[in-house]
Amino acid sequence: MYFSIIIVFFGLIMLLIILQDRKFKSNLPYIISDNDNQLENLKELTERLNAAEKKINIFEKQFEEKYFTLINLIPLGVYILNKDGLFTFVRNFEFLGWESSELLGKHFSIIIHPDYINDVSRDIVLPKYKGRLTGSKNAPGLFDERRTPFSDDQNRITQNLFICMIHKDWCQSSDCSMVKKGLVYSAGYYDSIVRDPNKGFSGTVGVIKLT
Amino acid sequence: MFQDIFYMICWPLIWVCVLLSISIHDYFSHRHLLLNFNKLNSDFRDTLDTTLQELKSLTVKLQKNDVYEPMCEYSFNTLLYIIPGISFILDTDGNFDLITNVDILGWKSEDLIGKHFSKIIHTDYVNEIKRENVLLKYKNTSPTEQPKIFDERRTSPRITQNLHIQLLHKNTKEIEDADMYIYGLVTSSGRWFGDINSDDKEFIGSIGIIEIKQNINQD
Repeated sequence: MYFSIIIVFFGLIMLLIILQDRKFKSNLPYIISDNDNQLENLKELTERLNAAEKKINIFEKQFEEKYFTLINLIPLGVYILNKDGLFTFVRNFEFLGWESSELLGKHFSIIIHPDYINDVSRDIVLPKYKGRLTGSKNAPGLFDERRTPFSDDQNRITQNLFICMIHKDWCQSSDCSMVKKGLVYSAGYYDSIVRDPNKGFSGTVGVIKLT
Repeated sequence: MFQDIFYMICWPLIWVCVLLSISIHDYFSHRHLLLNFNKLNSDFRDTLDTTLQELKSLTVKLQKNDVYEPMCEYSFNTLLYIIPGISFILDTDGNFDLITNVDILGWKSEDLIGKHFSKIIHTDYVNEIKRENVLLKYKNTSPTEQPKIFDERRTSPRITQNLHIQLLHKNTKEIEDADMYIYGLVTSSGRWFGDINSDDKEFIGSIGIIEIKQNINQD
């Protein structure tokens, strides 16, 4: 008697399991159709991604073209420094005997005459001005400038900063032809618009006009 | 005795047979659904993988355009502002897309965006430097003659250099009364999208700089 009750009990449990399984299978078409919708969505997303990639490629090419056309127009030395003062981009520095690629990764002090480095390097100049109000006109000029032309006080960027530069092969005993004089125009650039409080300093852009 | 054997062997057998028949029926009736489900599932995974990979490569590309790259939009805009003189970018119709350092002419940069370049050129000079007028003049001349054009379309080495112009101040009258003339030397180049030697290239505008020569007549 007990044995038959146990068998009936297990039988009922198995029946319950089978019913649940049938219920799942009856929902299967809906699951599949939902999956199908997701697939469609993904395909649409892929198409949109491809279109975005195409646009980025076009933008990249146009931007590169714009950058180089401008640089080729100006008869000036162009440089970009990173936040540590190392060259990350250089054009038209052949007048100092340097190939553009040779200067990449080097500190800007390598091209400045040792007698002038203390007058143009931010780390050395700014401590001298600590606590002094200079105003726009007397703001010190810096080779590795951080001020930007997009701030309200745009006149504080470096303009007409006189520098003496040295040729690649310059040494203390070199003659005058190894020293070039120029005017620097430089400004900092940031990773966001000036009003963004979270903006970060990216580096310095500058041009050098030989005098 | 017989009843015991029946309980012990037949009942479980009956149950097993019932369950088996239900399972077999279920299996065959839903087999195609399961197969489809598995196929869709694998398609879904493949597409998801592809999409994720594309997203990853796009992110890398966007990061390349990021500010940590020296040649980015932010450094370009800064460069335009620090170049001594006026820098400008024109669209294909000769309207300013961008112009910097125009305070010397009494303008704010944003006021000139979308306006034709003739807005800042003295009327006596406009027709002399406008592409459509200049090219008409040079129609029957030798190809070696190089006209100088403000809205230049040619690229290096045939770009416009040292084009002498008189600039127009926003308050022209006051400036001319004061005998203050602003002159400039223009260097400009065309901008093309695509290989410059191919037929598929597309003109997208001009870019240039104006070196300011103030009061040239008084010097």
